[in-house]
This record gives sequence, structure tokens and C-alpha cells, in this order.
Amino acid sequence: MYEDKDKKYDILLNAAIVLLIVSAILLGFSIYKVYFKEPNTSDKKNVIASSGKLVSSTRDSLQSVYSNTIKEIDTGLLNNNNRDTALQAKYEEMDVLKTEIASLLKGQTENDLASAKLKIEELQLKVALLQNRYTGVEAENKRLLSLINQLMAANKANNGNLSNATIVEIAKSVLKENNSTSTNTSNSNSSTIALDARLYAVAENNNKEIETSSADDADKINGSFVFKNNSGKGNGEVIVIVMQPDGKVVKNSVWETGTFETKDGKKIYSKKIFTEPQGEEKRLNFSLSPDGFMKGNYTMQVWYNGNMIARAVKVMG
Amino acid sequence: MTKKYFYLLGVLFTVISANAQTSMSAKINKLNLYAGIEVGAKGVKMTILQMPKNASNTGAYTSVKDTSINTDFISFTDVSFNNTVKGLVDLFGVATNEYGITSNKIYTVVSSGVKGQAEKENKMNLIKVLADSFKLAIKDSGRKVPIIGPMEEAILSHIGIVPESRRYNTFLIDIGSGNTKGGYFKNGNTKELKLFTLTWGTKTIANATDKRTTEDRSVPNYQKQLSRVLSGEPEQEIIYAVNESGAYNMNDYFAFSGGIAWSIATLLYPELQENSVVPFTYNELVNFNDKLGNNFTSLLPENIIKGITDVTADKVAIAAEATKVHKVFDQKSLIAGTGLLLKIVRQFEGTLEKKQFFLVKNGQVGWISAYVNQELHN
Repeated sequence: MYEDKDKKYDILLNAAIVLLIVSAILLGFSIYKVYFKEPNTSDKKNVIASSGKLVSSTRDSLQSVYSNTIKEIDTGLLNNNNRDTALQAKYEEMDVLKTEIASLLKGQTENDLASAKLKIEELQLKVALLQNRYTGVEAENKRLLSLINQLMAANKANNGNLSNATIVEIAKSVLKENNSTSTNTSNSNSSTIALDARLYAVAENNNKEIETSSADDADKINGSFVFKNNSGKGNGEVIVIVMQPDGKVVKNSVWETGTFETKDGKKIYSKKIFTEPQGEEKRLNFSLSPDGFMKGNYTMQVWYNGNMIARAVKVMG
Repeated sequence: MTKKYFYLLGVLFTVISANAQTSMSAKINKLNLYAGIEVGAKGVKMTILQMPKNASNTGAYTSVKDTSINTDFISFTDVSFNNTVKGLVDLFGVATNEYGITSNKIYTVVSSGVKGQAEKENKMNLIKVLADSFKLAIKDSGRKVPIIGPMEEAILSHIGIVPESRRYNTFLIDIGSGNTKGGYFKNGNTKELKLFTLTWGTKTIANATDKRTTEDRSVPNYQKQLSRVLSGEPEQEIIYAVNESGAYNMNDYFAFSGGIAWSIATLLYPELQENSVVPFTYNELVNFNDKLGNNFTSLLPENIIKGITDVTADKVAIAAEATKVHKVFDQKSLIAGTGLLLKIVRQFEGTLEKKQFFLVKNGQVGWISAYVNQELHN
């Protein structure tokens, strides 16, 4: 009697387990179908078509931005024949970027285009920096030429006692004097400046630092700028903020970071650099070693006495 | 058949457990975890640390867990003794079972405060019995439970808190509740620390002030009386101790740890909630002291949050930490502690040579982490 009862329970239990397993499989299959399964052929075609359209339109828009940037280089910068070594290096950097961008723009994936976008932004920044510099050099050359012409005319009127080389030297020294006066005048208003601000990432290899734009390869982010304070204000504390793409401040060690007051409220800084409050212009450098790097824009801000005096961006891909 | 059913359930449970364990181990790299368990005057304290290879260079070890059990060991009663043994065993169990730390990576020590009190009361034998009972309970007869001397503790605190790059030009001062102690490495090595001690701490200053304010318990009167207390014996002692230490000339950085340092750092620099160390200036401390007396509501968690402009700041965590401060210190205790800190900092605030000041939030982890590090290298 008990054996029969046991058998019945066993059958019921087996049936329940089988039902449970079947239900679990069906549920799993449904979840898979809804969330993970690839779309059916027609869906797939639509997705590919729409994604293709998207990629194509992004590529067109990037291509247009890229072409404009190239145009700026061609019309504004490449005519300059007086490239010094540093300038030549900048052009070479841009050439490398141009090759990379052109190759990425031919890519078929969204990742390629995203990388291309980052690199175009980097190229635009380099062009802007170079344009600033070039405009200054060009204006300087024009002033020098005009002064030489004036001096030659004056020399001719005075029986041409001076050689052409002497005239050029006189012109240069006059221009230098004028520039120094004009800089002092402008600085009495703007007072504190940080010139040639540069932010760059490096990968360390066998104790050598190699510049990189790859977030995966970078070990450090370095910065440098030329600081000059003619205001006599401030205590010599130059504050540097480096923000990573998500807006967080990059820090080296908790002993080096802190907060400072600005008109917009408190800000966290990455590093303080101590220098003479007054004195000759000085190049200041710093280095930060975060735990890792993100893809996107790293922004450096240089602050002195509550005012931002320089800004630079490094694009990491 | 019933057996089969339970077998199936068992398999299912095992799979779920395995998944859970995998996800936990993914969060914590157990290979780098170490535990330091300390019998202190108030009770048993455990710190679990994740030690990177270059921790001593950067001071960048991570405190994974910091927990304590109050057992009041230095009352030396049967109850406090038993509770302390139980506390030791329980925390040892947490380290081994919950964090998977092997016995050789768990360090157990008795702090100098316990030794000092035991010597005074002739109870040194209790420390030995405590160690033996603990070893018996965890079945580890070879375990070392050394007693750390005050000098060694101060040296280890300095090594554990201050990064190597600033080791020989940083004066570290721990403002405790009953006294203040610290020091700096005078001779360019870590064998000898120039000790600095004051018989005043946050609680003793607060107690002395309380005694003067029995009739008028208002905050303005508290501030007035505190100023008188600080201008008396504490000031004389501070000036003497600072001059005697020679610390001003020998150091560029002055770091302050202890409960009051943590409180001020938390309320004054909420944006730096993630940082274990924050810099401050004398003027900022003066302003903070002024706020404590005249605008205390601005330091309440809800108002601190309002002033944060950094969009990346974790406001929930900041509010939680500020709430913790207000639970530990009331307005008057904060005023008393800040007053004492101001008096000390004033001695180092030079007009010609500017010194840099820091507040250390996790000072309690310092010496045990250095001890673990030291033992690792040994």
C-alpha cells in the first residue's frame, strides 16, 4: 500500500520537475529572443541600412570639417617658408595626424569615425595654436621689412654710409626695443600671462618618454607653459587643473591636490607650482600620473591669483 | 526520488554560490590584502589594507575596511578581558573568512597605550595572558602578538601616513582627545624621531572650558572662556614644546591627524571627500573657526552640499561623512578642538617663510599600515 503511494508521489514529483525544467527552458528562450537574438533577416537589413546611413552621414560631416581644417592649413600656414626646427616639427605632427584621419575616414565602423572625430579635434587645436604663432611671426616680419625700407631710404638720403647688414641689425634692435615697451605696456593691464601652454601625454618605455595620443598607451600627462607675472600681485602659487574627459580632476597624490577660490566658487586643483611672484619669465613644467587614461579631451587650465591665465587641450584616442 | 530532488537543488545552490563568490573576488584582489589587528586602550581595532608595491613611495595604500569593537581593555576587569579576547577572535575570523586573508598576512599587536596603562597598574601579565588566550582560541601557538612602544608607534605613524618623498621635512602631529603627540625625523633616517608631546587634547581643552561655563552655557561665552583657557597653560606648553622641538626650522610641511583634523577636513573641504589628506592655510582655519561660532548652520550637511559647484562630486557620500562628523563632535567640541589646532598652527605660521599645512583624515590607519609594510619587507 505504502509502496503504491510512494510510486504515485514519485510520478507526480517527476512530472513537476520536468514541467519546471521545460518552463525554465521556455522562459530562458523567450528572454534570449527578446533581448539577445539577432533581428530577423528583414529587420537585419533595415538595421544595416539605417546604421549604414548613419555612418555615411557622420562620415560626410566629418569629411567636411576635416576639409575645412586642411583648407586653413593650406591657405594660412603652409605659405610660411621660414620654418624653424620647432615649427617644422609641428607641421610634421600635423602631417601624421592628417594621414591617420584620412585612413580612419575610410573606415566602415562607428569606432573608426569616433576616433577620426577625436583626431580632427586635435588637428584643429594644433592649427589654431600655430595660427596664433604664425600671425605673430608674420606681423613681426612685416614690421621689420617696413623699418628696413625706412632706414635704407634715410641712409640713401645721407650718402649711404651704412651697409645693408648694419641697417638690418639696427632695424632688429629698434624693433626689439619697441616690442619690449609694448609688452610691458600691455602687461601692466593683463599683468600675468602664461604663454605657449602645452599639454601632452607620454608613454614610458625603457626609461624613455615617448609622446602619444593613445589612451591605452599613455602613462603620464605632462604640461608646460611660460609664466610671467608683471603685476607684482599674488604669492607665486601657480595653480594647474587638468580635467579628464568625464570632468574629474586628475590627481597625482593626495598631498599635491587641494582647493582654491575663484569667482565661480571653489575648484579642485591637480597641482600647485611655486615660483617667484615677480621675476623674469620662466618655463614651468609638471607631470601627472593617473591610474589610467580615458578617451576624449583632457583640458589643462592655469590659474594665478584667482584668474585663469592659460588653457590647453590634449585629445586622447 | 526525493534524494534526486535534493541533489538537483544542491547543484543549483552550488552554481549560484560559485557565481556569487566569483563576483566578490572580482571586486577585491585578495592577493594584496593584509590585516592589522590592534589591541588598543579603547578596544580591538582591525584595518584591512590593499598594499600596492609602491605604497611607501606614494602613501597610496587603500584602506579596504576599518572596524573596531569597544572592549575597554585597560579597565582590566574580567569582563573587559573576555570581551577583548572575543573581539580579537571575531575580527581574526572576519579577516580570514570574509576577506580570505591567510593567517600569515594578519598581524596582531598590542598598542603602546595599553602597555603604558598596564605598567602603571602593574597588569603587564594580563597582556601576556590575553595573547596566550587568543592564540589558543585560534589554534595558532606560533602567532606573534608584540607590544609596540610609544616611540615605535610614532615612527610607524609617520612612515604610514607621510609619503617617502616628504618623509624628512614633514612634522606630523596627532591631536588626540587626551593629549597631543607627534614628531619628525631629524637626522634623515627613520630610526630616531624627534618627539613632540602636549598634555592637552581636544577633550581636555573642552573639559577645562566646560568648567568655566557652568553659569552661562551660550556659545559666545564658550568661545570667550575657551580663549582664556587656551591662553593659559596650553599656550605656554605649546610655545615651549614647539621651540624645544626645533621643528619650525627643520620642516616644510606640517600635518595634523586625529579626530578633530578629520572633522575640520570633512566640513571645510567637502569637495575633497575622497582625499585622505587635504591642505589648508592658517587663514582658512581662522575663517572656519569663525563659522563655528557665528554661522554654525552653514556647516550642517544640507548646507555644505548647497555650496558644492563641482558636478562630479558625490554629494551623497559628502553628506554622509558630514553627518558622521556632527554625530561625533557637537558645536562646542568642534570649537574647542579647532581652537587648540589654531594655537598650534599659529606657532608655525611664519611671515617670511611659508609652511604648508595638511589635515590627515585617516591617521588611525597610519601606523598599522606601516607596521604591515615593515613586516612584509622583513
